[in-house]
Amino acid sequence: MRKKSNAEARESTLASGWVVEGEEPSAPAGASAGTPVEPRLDGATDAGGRAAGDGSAPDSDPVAGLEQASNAVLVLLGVFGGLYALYTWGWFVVAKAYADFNTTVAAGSGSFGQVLQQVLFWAAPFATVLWFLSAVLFLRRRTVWLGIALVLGAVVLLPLPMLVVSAQ
Amino acid sequence: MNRFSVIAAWVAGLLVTGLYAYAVFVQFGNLLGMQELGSRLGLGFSPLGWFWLLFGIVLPFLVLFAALLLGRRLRAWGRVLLLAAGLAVVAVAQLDVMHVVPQAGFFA
Repeated sequence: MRKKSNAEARESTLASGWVVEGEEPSAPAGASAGTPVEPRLDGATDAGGRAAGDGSAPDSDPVAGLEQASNAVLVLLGVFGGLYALYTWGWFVVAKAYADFNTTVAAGSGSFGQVLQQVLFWAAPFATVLWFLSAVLFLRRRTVWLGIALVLGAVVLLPLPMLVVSAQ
Repeated sequence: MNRFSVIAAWVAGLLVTGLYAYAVFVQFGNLLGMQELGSRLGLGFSPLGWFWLLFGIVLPFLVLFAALLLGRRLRAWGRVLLLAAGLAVVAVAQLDVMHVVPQAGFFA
């Protein structure tokens, strides 16, 4: 049931990895019943079949790493991507709330020290983004370690100042 | 990756490492400031106070070491990304401790 019989299958320009199926043949009965009409993510459904059928080893394909994201990885990225987005919002709220206090504290440490203090202070809201990016880029192929890294990040980067009343 | 990109990555990495050094410097200054405040009040640090003050000083070292260890097989810019992520974690930890640990608890 190779799709090669439909000559008009083409790569979508919307996002790499998505395939826009060609027009169904005029006689659907002749075509296989199992061909989905809607676009599908190749890596999620038939990465193995493609690798075997095309005769191209996954490693020789420059985008093979992206296409081969397993279902588990996709679920991890979806769930933790949403959670981390919430965390990022939380940390921005916290940082804005403390910004004036931070500026007051930094005022006593010279012009250079003020810049450094502001950079360090405003690094906090970007922690979730940087952690997520690092985990996805470096652990994409190791599902278990990716999960561990994302869970660890969800614990370490919990926006405590949003959840706990200040002790001061 | 060309030579310019590698040099730029090293410069960026050194700048981020400088911010780690600044984070330690700030926490050391915090320790001295709190000590002075305590001496004016006629109080010393409680064990928990010592823990949190030293935690602030030691954490940037630990995170920097971990980032370098985890990034030792990565390309230059990958290492810079890990260093930046580590620095942001240090900033998060500083905010957490500042918000959650009561200042009065530092003294005994």
